[in-house]
Amino acid sequence: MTKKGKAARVISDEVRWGIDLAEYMSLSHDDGDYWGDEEDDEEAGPSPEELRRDALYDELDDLSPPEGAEESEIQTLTTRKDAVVQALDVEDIGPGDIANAEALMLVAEQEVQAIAKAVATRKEDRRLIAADFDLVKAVEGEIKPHKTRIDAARLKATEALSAAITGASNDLARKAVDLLAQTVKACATELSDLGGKDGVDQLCKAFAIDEDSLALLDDAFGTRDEVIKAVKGFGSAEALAKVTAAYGAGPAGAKTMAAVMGAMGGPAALAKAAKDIGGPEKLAALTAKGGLKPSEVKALCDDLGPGFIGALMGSGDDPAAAIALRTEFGGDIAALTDLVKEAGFDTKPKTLAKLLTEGCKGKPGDFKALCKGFATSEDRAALGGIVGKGGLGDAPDALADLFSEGCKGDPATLKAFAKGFDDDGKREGLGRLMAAGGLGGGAKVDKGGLGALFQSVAGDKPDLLSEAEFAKTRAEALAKLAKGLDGADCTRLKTVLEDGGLGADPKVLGHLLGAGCDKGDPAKVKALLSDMAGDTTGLARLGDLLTAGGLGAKDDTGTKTDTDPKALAALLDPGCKGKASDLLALAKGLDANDRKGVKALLSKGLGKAPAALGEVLNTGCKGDPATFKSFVAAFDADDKREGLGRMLEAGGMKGGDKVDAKTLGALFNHVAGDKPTGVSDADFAKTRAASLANLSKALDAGDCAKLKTTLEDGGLGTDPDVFGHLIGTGCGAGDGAKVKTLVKELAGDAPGLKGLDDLLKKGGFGTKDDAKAATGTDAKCLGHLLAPGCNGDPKEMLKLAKALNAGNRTALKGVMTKGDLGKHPQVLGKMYQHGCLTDPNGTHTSAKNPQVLKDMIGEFADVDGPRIFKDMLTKSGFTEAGKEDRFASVLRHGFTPKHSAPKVQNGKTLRKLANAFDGNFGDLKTTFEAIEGAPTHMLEADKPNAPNRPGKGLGNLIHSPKFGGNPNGAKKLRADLFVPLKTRSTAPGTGTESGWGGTPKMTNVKDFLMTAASFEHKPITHATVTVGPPNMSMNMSHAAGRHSRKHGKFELNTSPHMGTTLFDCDTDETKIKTMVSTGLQPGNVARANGGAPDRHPSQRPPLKRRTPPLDQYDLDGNFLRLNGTAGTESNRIGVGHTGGVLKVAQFYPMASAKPLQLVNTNDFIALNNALTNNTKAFL
Amino acid sequence: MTSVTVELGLMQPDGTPYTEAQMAKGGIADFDSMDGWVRLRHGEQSFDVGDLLLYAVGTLCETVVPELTGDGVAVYVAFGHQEELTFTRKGDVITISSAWRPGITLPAEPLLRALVGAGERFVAMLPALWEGALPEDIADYAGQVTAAAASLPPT
Repeated sequence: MTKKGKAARVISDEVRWGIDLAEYMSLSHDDGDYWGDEEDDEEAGPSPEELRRDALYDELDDLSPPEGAEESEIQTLTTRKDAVVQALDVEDIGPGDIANAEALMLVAEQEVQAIAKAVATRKEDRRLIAADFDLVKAVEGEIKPHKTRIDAARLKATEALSAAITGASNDLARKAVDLLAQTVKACATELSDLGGKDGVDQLCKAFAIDEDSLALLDDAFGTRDEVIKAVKGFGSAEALAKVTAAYGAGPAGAKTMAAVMGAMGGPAALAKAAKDIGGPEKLAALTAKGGLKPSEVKALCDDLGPGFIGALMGSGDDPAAAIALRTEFGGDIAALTDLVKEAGFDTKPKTLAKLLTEGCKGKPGDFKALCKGFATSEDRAALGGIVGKGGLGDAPDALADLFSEGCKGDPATLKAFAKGFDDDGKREGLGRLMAAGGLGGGAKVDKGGLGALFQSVAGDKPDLLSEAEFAKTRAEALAKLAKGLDGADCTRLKTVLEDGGLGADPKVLGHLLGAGCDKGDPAKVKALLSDMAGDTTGLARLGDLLTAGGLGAKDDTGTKTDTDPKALAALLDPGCKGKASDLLALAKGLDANDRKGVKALLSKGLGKAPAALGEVLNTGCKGDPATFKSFVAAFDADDKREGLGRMLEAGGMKGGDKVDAKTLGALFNHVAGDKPTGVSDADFAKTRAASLANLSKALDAGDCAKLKTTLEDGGLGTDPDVFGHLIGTGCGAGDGAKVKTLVKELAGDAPGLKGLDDLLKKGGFGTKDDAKAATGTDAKCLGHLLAPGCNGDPKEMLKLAKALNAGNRTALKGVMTKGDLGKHPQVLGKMYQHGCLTDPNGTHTSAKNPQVLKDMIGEFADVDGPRIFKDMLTKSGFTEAGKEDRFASVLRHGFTPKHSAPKVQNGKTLRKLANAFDGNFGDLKTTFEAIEGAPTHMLEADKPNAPNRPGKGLGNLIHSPKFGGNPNGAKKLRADLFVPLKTRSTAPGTGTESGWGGTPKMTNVKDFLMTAASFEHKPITHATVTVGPPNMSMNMSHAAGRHSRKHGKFELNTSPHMGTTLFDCDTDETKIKTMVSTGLQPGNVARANGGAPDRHPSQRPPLKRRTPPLDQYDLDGNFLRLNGTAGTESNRIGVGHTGGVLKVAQFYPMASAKPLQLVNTNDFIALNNALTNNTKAFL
Repeated sequence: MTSVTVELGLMQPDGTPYTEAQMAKGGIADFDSMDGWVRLRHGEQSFDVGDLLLYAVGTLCETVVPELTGDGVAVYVAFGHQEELTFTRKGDVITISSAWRPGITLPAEPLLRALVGAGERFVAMLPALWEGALPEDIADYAGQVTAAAASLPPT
């Protein structure tokens, strides 16, 4: 082996063993001994090739790696050099070898050059790395953990840059610098992600750690990245801190939060949930207070939605409601989620929450039922319609109230409501109501307006409708109303709500627009709003009326009232007949004191009877504010107010199934009876009010209980005007004692009450019959039947009611309705008072005899009966003003025989009378008028409670010999009496009559009639009477039969031109006897020829006149004409001396305090012919 | 026509008339209390003096006839009523006037004689007509008629 070769092998070994190249090289250069071994091989002269070889060796020796060469490069160079050595290391080196070696040498040299270049490159790289290192800046706001990390990286980079320059070290340096840069950047980014220094500070503060402990958060969140993710997810470290803090202090809270966050799907999801739920505290409360596991939190949020959950928590953080709700739904949450999604609650969680918390009173079960109630998409879409366009989504309180109050918590009802708004016009109208109309609620408008309006818009539920059907009706009515009110209307509505106090009283509002406006009729509501909104003062007073007047839910002191919310509506309608301007006028018409009175009155019971209140204003006051004031003022003490309350409640007058709400109003209207002539309406209103107030006070609880029985069982409750008049007219203008008696008697007589009910409904005494058809009967009839009909005795009224059987009632109804008797209560009352007596010739207060009425109506039970009755009633003057007792008189006296038994009325005769004059009732009227117009000396005058005319005159006619009395006596009264007398009255004077100057004939049929009626046809008891002692008799039959109306027998005067003188109607046989007896007494008697007789005519001896005459009697002859005075009466007394006896043979009146009637003889004959069966020919 | 007739008649209380012929049959109850008439007829003219017939016949015969045998005035005052008839004779006629009715003028002589004639017929029927009459009652009437007849100038 050559020297070079040896060196080359050693190098190779060294490389192979991994010796440090530089060290090796150093050793090579420092140890001369090594090279000295080569000299031992120089034994022969060198050939050129050898020389060349040596030169190459030298060159090879000089061929060193440049400084900075790396071991691999050195190794490569060595290899290159070894290759040269190996090429040279041959035994017989030849040129070829040399050439080969030189070639290899060249390669080695090139290698050296390459290494040099690489070294240079590495130096440049190092410089660049160092430059990069220098570029790495500190992180602004650097936090401690970052500084530590950066410092470490910076140190490593510094160390790397400090290492010898090699490719590897450069790589390391590069990596270190890059790492440093990356670390700085990462820290910067991280810091930024954490919200900068402030964010970190907040995190630290939130978690109660310092910067050095941020790693704890890493643990909590898992990694720093998770922390950062959380920060990003929440938008800021502040937000994260805030959220995290909600889960508890320190990292522990963070850990919990992180778990929840993880379950929720990350920070963004958590952040959104926290935001939607209303804040992290609320979200955290699901865990902390609700005890939910993270997965349960997610499930809850997924099911209910965070917004809904948060809304359920309200302003607090109690998740119990939400949790309970989800529990309630269990695994069947679709009903809720579908509702949320399809009804638009996804964006209205608060609204949905209100539905649970207030609408369902917080009852999950109810809420579930609500959700399930909207079972179909159609249902939910309908709900969405009112939530969306209907504006309820933005009015959660209103919607909740709508469900709880307006729908009474019934999902089906809410569904009906929603479906009622079945087009956009309606839904938009609802929206207007809620927004522009103010029903959505506000400072002055309660949330309950819509619910109340829905509840009341259609008024009271008709019995025939089910609740479900009525809900639909209500919804349709409200929807129609909503659609019908435009923007301007709604603006007015808001004004009315806010300025009229109605906004604070939703129920009052509901009823006002419902019942008060004809079930929410849009036109009427529009009119109401128009009237009200423009009347600022009126609205203010309306508000006062609601509060100070006690019409609202709370009074002016804030105290809750018990006034029915329907009260104001009732005042509007029927009170003001729906005219809002009148309602405001009422409000304005009441001053503070009035309002105080109203409130006091309402508080004692009237407030609980709204319908009755409305009718007080309507029926009782005719809508007049002043009258209403009088009404209120009359109840000036609590005992009266409480009394009214008793009548309403215990007495049943507040209204009900069997008692019309108009009853009180009607009672107020009629309680004082008819208004006296000359009394103003205003004054009479005060009278009425005072009567009612006093009556109210008078009736105690027991009375009121009886009153209720009377109203309900007697049929009076459904006929309020009849009742009112019964109390007013029938009970002496509402006299308390009489009313007490009335209700006592009525309530204590069940059969009687039944009879009364029948009398009203079947007997034509009610204004409506049992088929509720109007009868046309005047409501006063029953009152007049009681008084004067029954003289105010309820027992008599009950007696009549009970006496009537079905047939009687039918007949009575015919007479009352078709026969028109029911239209003339005064006629009716007096008719029963006088016409149906057990003793018609007694007093009017004697017991009643219903049979007379029964007989009467029974005669008119045929088909034509009512017609003929009506004709008679109306055409014969029974119904004329001022002649209301004409019928009574006829029935009492016309059909009662005066001088023959039985002296009782016969109702059947009326039909005969009617038949007699049917078609000519004017003649009957003429007859009545004639009788009524007769001078009092001819016919007995009327007296208080004794309507003698025309009855007694008619009775005289009917019971004359010709007509023969009841019942047929009336049958031909016209044909056989009226007509002949009429004929006589119009007949021209004929024959001898024409020249008569003594007694003019009568030319007016009324004169005939009244004269005819003045004859009573009373039999003469004693045909001959003794008028003077001891032997003077008188032919009473002759005297009374000619000159007395009482006994008149139509004895004609034989001097027809002189006619016949008639006494007054009171002169009878007794009186005549007295007049004669008295008139013959000395001092009373005078001779017709002059002078007074010297003695009583009976003492005329001798009976035979003497010739020549010895005294005056002898001069007078057999017939002595005397004028006898008896009091105011002066009569001609003709004493005849015939047959040996003295008798009064002639007697006629000459003068009287009462006028004497001189009747033309032919007239007398006509009267005779009309009244007797002894027809005489006219002279 | 210068004749004057006088008819008598009665009238029951009920108005039923009795002609003179019926009267003559008698049997009329209460005759003495009954009104009647003395009907004067002269041609188509007629004039009734109605009164208690007993009074009327007697009074006409007793009072009027003797007073009017020459010109003069006689007054008949009714018993049963208030009419007064004034009989005024002027020459051959007698005018009967009344405050109450149109009067009548009759030939005087025939009238007076007719009245007497009626009185005579009346007296003749009284026994049958007047139940309960005393003989002196009838005689009294007869005397009145006789006196009246006697007052007339002889035919």
